[in-house]
Amino acid sequence: MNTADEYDEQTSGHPDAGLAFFGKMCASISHEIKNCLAVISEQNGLHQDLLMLQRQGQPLAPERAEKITQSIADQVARMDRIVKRLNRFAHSSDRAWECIDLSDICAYTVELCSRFAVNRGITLASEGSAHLEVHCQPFAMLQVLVGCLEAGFAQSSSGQTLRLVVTREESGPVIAIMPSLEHTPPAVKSIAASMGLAFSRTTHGEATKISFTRG
Amino acid sequence: MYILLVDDEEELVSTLAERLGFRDIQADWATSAEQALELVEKNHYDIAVLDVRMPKISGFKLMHMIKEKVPDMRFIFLTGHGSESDFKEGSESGARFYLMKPLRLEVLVEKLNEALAGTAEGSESR
Repeated sequence: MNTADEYDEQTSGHPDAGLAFFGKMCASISHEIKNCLAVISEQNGLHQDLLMLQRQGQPLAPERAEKITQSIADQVARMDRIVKRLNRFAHSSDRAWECIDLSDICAYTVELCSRFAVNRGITLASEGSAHLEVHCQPFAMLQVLVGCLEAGFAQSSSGQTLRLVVTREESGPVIAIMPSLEHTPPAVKSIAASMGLAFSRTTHGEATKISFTRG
Repeated sequence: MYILLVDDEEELVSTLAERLGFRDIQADWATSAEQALELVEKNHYDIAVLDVRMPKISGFKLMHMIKEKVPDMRFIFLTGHGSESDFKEGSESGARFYLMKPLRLEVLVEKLNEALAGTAEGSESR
């Protein structure tokens, strides 16, 4: 996915945009799991190689064996974090409406999109007020936020930082996307509108704002 | 045989290089396209084994960049799942093989030998 237009085409052109989004995110997470498995597999292979050399008379230093064991343990811990992220994502689709903490969902979105960002050399950050809760659909909210970040990727170059900043304004809670989006995909706007969210730009154009009209 | 392994997972490429060394295959490794290009400037590799999806510069793009410097270098790609579009793009670019992660080292060694001999047609190995 390279441009906001492509995102639009892929999601709005699909008979079920939500399902398409679900599939894309799960596929990305499964790539991360594959990388962990690949490292574990190589460490296991290295251990076997070293044992074979030991049988041929070349001693296996305990530090080598410990390093391999540690590497496998690190990868298992990494995979556990990835699977927890996947589990949370899966459960986001089985809850219709609920109260969600905006800072928490922004931090989670950043985590979900980290691989897309790293592949483009872009840094993601989430900032903002704790315990600002809104009533919305978690899965649709993730669709909106990921869609915004992807639109941000399309206009950013390597080395840039994209931020999701949670604040409270007089009108209610706001998520600001910085720098502002040149193009917000209509499919994303439409999902946002279905939850009563509105897009706007800050006065000086430095951020795109998502405002919550329902508390 | 002298090969270059490129993948952003350092533990993967460094371990692979060591294991290939046990099998008398000399391998250098890099974790980014930039590092890989520096190594290509300094050494003459027979084959590059590239991860399809790497930060900033993809394996396909890196292959084109290396080919500009070393037109006769051969390529094998590593991929997590191997999407249809990856296979299509790789085949059109002249990639010889795709290997799925996690790798089976004996399969990699076999494909390295085939790629070096230049006898086999491109294929995928799962």
